[in-house]
Amino acid sequence: MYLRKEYKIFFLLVFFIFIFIFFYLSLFTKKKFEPRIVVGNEMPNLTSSTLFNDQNLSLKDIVNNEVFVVNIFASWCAPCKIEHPFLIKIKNKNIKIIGINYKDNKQNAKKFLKKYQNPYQEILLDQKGTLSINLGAFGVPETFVIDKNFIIVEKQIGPINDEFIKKVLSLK
Amino acid sequence: MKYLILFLIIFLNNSNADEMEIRTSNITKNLRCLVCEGQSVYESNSNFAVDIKNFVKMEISNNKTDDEIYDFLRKQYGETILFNPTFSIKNFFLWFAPVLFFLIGGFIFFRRLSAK
Repeated sequence: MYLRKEYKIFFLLVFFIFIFIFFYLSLFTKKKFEPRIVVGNEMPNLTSSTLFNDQNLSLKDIVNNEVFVVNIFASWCAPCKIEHPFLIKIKNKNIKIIGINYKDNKQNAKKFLKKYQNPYQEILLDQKGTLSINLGAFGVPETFVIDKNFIIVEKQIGPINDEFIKKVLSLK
Repeated sequence: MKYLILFLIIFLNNSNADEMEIRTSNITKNLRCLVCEGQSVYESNSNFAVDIKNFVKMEISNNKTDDEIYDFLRKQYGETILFNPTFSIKNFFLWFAPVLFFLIGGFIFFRRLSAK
C-alpha cells in the first residue's frame, strides 16, 4: 500500500500532466451546436398566420401523410439567396416546402419571392422568432425534412446543396 | 370609485408584467446562449438569445412552469443549453466527483494524521 517516495512523485507528476493535457486540449475543441439533436423528434405542429393571405394555418392543415421540407428564411439573409435555387429544385421534384419567414418585413419577403421565385407551398410568419425556437433552430437559413409519420429525419444549418436534395429524394 | 378601479387595474397589470419579467430573467440567466462565447441568454442580445427570451415569455403567458420550459429547451437544444446540468446517470460522475474527491482526500488526510 505504501509506495516509495520516488514512485509517489512519479505518479503525482503523471497525474498532473494528464490533467494539464486534458484541460489544454479542451481549450481547442470547437463549439458544437448539436444540430442533430432534434432529428428523431416529432415535428411540432407549428401554427401561425400566412404571408400572402393572413390566414391562420398549422402544418397539419398544409401537409397530409407525406414527406415535406420546412425551410426557415428571410429576405435580409444572404445565405438564403444562395440556397434558393436548391429549394426550387426540391419544389420541381413535387415535394412540398413550407417556409418559415423569420423576423422579416412582409413587403420585403414578397419582393424577395417575386425576384427569386416562390418555392413554398405555404409560408408561415415568425415575427418574434418563437416558431424557430419551437423547431430547435439557431437562425437562418435552416432546413428540416419531415417524414410521413411527422418525424424530423434530417436537419441542415446553413444553405442546402445537391447532397441535401439527394437525401430528401431518397426519403420520398 | 372610478379612479380606485382604474388604479387597481393599472397596479395589477404592472405587477403581472413585473412578475413575468422577473421569471423571464431568472430562467434566461440559467440558459446558455449557444451562438455566443460564454454568455447567458439573459446577457446576450444576439438574435438567438432574443428569440429564446421571446419564447420564454410566451411560455410563461401560456402558464408553463419553469421546469416545463427548461425541459422543452433541453429536448430541442440538448443539455448544453442549461448552465445547471440535469441529475441523470450520464451526469452521475459530474455531480458526485467533488464529493468523491473530498472523501478520498479526507481519508488520506486522516490516515496520515493517525499514522503520525
